[in-house]
Amino acid sequence: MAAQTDFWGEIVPAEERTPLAILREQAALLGTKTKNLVEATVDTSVNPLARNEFIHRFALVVPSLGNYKYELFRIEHGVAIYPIHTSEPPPALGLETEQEFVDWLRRKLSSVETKRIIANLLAQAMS
Amino acid sequence: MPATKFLFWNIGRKPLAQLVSELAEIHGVDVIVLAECETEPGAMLQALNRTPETGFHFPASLSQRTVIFTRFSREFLQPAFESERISIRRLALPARAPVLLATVHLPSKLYWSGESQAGECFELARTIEIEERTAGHRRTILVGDFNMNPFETGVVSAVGLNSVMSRRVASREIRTVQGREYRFFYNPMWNHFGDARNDTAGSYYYDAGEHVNHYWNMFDQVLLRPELAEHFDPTRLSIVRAVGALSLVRPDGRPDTANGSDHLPILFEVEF
Repeated sequence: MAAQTDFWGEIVPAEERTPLAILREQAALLGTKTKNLVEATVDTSVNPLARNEFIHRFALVVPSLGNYKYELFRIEHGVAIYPIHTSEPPPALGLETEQEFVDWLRRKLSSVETKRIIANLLAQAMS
Repeated sequence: MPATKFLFWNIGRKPLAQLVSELAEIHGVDVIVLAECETEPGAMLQALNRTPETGFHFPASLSQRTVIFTRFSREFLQPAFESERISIRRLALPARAPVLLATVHLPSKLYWSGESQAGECFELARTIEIEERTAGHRRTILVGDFNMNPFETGVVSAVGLNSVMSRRVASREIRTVQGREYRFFYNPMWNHFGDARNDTAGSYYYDAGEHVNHYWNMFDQVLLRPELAEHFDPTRLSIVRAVGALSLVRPDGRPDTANGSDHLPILFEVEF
């Protein structure tokens, strides 16, 4: 009997940092800035409307307020990873590269609106 | 096996956040369990995390009588069972065997008879058995203020917590009474009765002013299932008498409520 032929070849993970890894890195950094009064989490699920798409929800959590959770944003992408679609504009058309995604994430996390939300949550956690 | 350091302290509704923080820092505590903690979790976190290196988290719980703060991420400590006085959580650390961490603050002798306290232990034992079956293991750490001594019916009875003072006895895992099997706990607190070490002969002092009076009590206890007791070093358990230079006891060895609580903290390490 002839030996089976392996059509798969070598399989290795993609070398690029995934959006999930980047989001988790940033989530882990928030707690140290707030004495863990406000933490961030990333929950990943499959888009029920488009089964081959991932959804990553980035949320702020206040454990001392009964685990109050505020979804700051969500992103969606397919198995090709890029483009990434964000839950809010800009850009409406999607982020085509890791650099575009990182730039967008930096703007989002350091925005006046995000800082205001975190400040309000911190104030409530400390009161 | 790596050791995890636990601190339990009934802080008696006093504002002792700073002291808890110092205690945790001095001893490198991983998991803090507090009873009678009226300090808001946010304020406690601020005290615990006054330096960036510490990083304690507050895994919220429905159980109101005990609160937990841990250096581990909240996701590693998930609730399994919660009631007002009992919290059982699954502690699952990366590359470590999962354990169940049960924390309790059982009703006081001021309001409950010994019989009722024992009855509560029977229920607690049943609840733990159920959660152990659900978890699929019996690596359980039970810690808290039991408001009972290690020798009282609820703590030693087979239908209660079935805890014994000897690891060798506990290593039998079960005892059989009238054909029914009951799983042991090991109770290392027995080693801390009496004044052989110093004048602090227990974790809590109460002069009852009645015929039967033990004066010193060991209401604050940790009990371990045999699988954890097997790797437990009793010398790694202590009743804490000082935080740095600050004494938690008076010259006669009793808890100094001016500096701390009417209960003394217990520190212990568990390998898993």
